Amino acid sequence: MNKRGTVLLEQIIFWVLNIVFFVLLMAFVWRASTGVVVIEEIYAKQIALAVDMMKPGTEANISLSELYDIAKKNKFEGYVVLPEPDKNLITVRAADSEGYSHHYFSNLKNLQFNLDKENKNLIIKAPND
Amino acid sequence: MINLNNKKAGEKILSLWWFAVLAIVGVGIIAGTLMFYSKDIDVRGIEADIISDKIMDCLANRGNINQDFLDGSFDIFDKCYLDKDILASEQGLYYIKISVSGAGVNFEPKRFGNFGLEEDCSIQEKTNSKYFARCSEKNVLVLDNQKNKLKLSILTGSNYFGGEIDVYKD
Repeated sequence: MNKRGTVLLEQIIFWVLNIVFFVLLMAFVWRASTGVVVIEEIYAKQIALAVDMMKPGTEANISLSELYDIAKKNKFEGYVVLPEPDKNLITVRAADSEGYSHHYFSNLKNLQFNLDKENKNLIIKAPND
Repeated sequence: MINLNNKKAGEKILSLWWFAVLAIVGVGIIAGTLMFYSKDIDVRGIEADIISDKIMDCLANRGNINQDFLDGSFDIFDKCYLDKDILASEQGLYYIKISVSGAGVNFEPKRFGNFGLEEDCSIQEKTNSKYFARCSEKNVLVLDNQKNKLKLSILTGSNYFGGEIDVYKD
């Protein structure tokens, strides 16, 4: 190969390596931002705050589609949302791990948590006193 | 020994430097991303706001203060749908202070939860430090049953980042 061809090949390898490096870096950042740990924390806090804001006779409907998608990706088939009213605790899991828990401070009586797996929704009902 | 006058050797040294630059940039971005996403999502301010809103809602009804509260026969936890075990623990992560002031009113402020957080609220306001509790303060003018104007002040604080805490239910 002549000198000009060698320089061109070096240039191509240089740019390909750079592009691969930055693509890998962006993939890492994207994976971290949509990772299980972050999503579990976001949903646990969102559900707990929704419960805290509820009044008797109201109903909250929370879409869990992103959470179900991540659970499916991780082949997790258990309960993605596990409410424990005796401890005022909401635990969210999207993988075979401990999940993330957050307490709510509302003491509404007979709160009902219904997981609608078909529509990927969580329906919370606070009956009247 | 590397001959710097030799063009090929110079190019090799440059590419080594380039890989070093890539490594530094890569390590920096990975470290920054991990640090950012390992931090807790802070909802303490929102929690403090919700608590003060709920208390305000059940104490002040259409501009009138609940007279039972002034008489001392009003359980804010029961009537405002708040969990006493979580919010009123002295070693806990929450603080509530309710004051009423006005002409002819001698009302001792009611305080619940971790009293140390009250100081945290004022420090946090001045320093904006993430280690101190986030707080919410609300003041409204209300009327008592004699139509006297009173100032109802509610200060609430939360220092709960998340995770399971010990809650002892009766």
